[in-house]
Amino acid sequence: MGKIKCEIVKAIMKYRPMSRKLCLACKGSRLLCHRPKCPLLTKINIQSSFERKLREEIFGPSPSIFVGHSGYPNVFVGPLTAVEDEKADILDDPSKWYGLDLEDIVKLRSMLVRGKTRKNVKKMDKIVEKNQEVALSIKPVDTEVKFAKKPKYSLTFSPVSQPLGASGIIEKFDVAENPKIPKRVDNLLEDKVKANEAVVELYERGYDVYYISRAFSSGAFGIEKRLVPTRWSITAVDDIVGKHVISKIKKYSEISEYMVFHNTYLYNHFEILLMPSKWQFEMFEAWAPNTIWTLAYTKPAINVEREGFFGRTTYAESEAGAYYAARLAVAEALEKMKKQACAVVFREIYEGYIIPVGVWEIRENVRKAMEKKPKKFSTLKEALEDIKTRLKIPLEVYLKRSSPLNQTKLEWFL
Amino acid sequence: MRLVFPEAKILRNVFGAVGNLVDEVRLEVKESGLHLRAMDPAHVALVDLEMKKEIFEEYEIDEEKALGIDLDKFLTVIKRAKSKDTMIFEDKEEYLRVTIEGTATRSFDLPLIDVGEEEVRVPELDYPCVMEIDPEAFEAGIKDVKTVSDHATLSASEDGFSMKAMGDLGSVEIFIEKNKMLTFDVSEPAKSMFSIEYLEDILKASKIADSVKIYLGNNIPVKLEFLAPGIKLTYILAPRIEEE
Repeated sequence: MGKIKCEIVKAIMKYRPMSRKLCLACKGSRLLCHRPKCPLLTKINIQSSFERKLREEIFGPSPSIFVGHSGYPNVFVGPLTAVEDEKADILDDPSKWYGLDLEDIVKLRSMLVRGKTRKNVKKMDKIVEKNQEVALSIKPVDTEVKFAKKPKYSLTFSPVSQPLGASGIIEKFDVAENPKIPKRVDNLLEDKVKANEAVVELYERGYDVYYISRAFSSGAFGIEKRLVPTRWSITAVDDIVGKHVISKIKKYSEISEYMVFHNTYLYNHFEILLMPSKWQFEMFEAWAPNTIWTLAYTKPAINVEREGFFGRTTYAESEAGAYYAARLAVAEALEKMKKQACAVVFREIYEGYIIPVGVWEIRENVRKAMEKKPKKFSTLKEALEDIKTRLKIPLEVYLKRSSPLNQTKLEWFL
Repeated sequence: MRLVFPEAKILRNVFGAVGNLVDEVRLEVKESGLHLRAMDPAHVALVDLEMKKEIFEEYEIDEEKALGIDLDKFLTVIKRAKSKDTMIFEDKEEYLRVTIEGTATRSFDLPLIDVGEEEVRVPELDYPCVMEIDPEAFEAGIKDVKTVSDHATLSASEDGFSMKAMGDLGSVEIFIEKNKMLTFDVSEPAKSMFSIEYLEDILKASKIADSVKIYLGNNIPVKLEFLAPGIKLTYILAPRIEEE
């Protein structure tokens, strides 16, 4: 185990979870333990080689911004500025991270400094506009940031958004070059277009969800513009784009065979089963004991969320952002096939997944799985037999809780 | 075609109960009354609705026909009416005109959609257990079961009807004695397991009926009949595969 990872484990282990079930249900976001902050996601102070590069004034490329959620509607907003010029463009672009391990990701994120200014989400002033320019630029923008005091390095994690490193309160912030903002995006700023319509339009024009959610969080879209906390914007965009893609695939014909896809990355194993049927989606999450959310467990903990053809009316609380990220990746693959199907996703999270890196891991993991050539079967039984060989948890445990896998159809009784 | 229905509330509840399962329907306007039959997209449940022409204030048709209706839009219009408002339906070539008569007279034109003529076949099954109970007791029971599981085992014996489930969070059983039922005819015990999500959607039809007739067998679809004057709303729901 690498040095950084070792220190993270040590830091996490200092905290004992308060209840068996609460942490997994909450994943640091709903604060079910009634503490002001999640003790497991509390800042972990480890050494970073980039720490010596931290100064009171930083001039460097900013590939993105970050909008906090704590204190909503008065939140911290500010640029993420790279302490080195090199690779600045990939530091906040998870579509380029696939294949990196936990340590690489922590290192990558440690090269960014988060600037913070407290703003009401509805207040669109000069500072917010500058942040917006950074967020909307398709290339990192050179910025000058003056902090109130030298930024402090400490790692922060979230189950939805990417880890963050050093941060500091901003005293002065200037954009030092012209940002590269696509014309249509610039127009959307002025247009009275609903936020979800703007999201769908940009997606259809070929922008990926990473760019769109960044723009979304900066308050660029909607009739009443407002800042959206980064973690909310990620899931909101996954949900909006997901619903849009699903509305398209629901018009296609059903697949004719059972298909199985799988992939493992960052201690997360995925099996995706597609069945001939109208669109439906079900996702299992099985957490091994001793991941950050299951420290108090001795057996794996399993969550399941699903939706039928007409979609869901409630938020997928037990899986949260992970559900919407995986659903999008599966829907995108069906859109490419021009087919519809009933999809069942099995996600097994192994012990090595000691820190959450954000839902991009799920999106990219499932996208990778769906890019591979699937195994095809003519019966459900054969498909399940195949899946079973790669799952750590007995298939029966899943079957018992599945809706589509254990459901008969009316035509079987004709 | 001109149909006049005296109470918007009844239509709201009836079509609302259908709309929980399907989004598009082929509504047949027949000499005897209205009829529709539709299957949910996953082919797990079907709904069959009959409304006799006698419960309409006026029921005039030139010929029997079928109207393709987008239920979401249809319901949005019906929901604009007050409970006691009168509703008038007229077909105009490409659309259906819906008029709400209350204090004001409001007309909405709904485009008719193409829903094809695919026939929905109904499984013909023999049921050893037929019981009639208060739909509210059924609905409450399913809500109890939901506290521990996503599926419920419905069973009937010579003593009565039970709903139960076992889950990670414990187990629950709701029992209704036979003398608390309106009718009870059990020739041999039977048991089948069903998805609670579907049962919940179906049981929203409880609003329209004073009683629900349950046709139960062993690992076969359950048939639920909701009866109100001039209205019969039937659901057939396919079972889950029993693990034990």
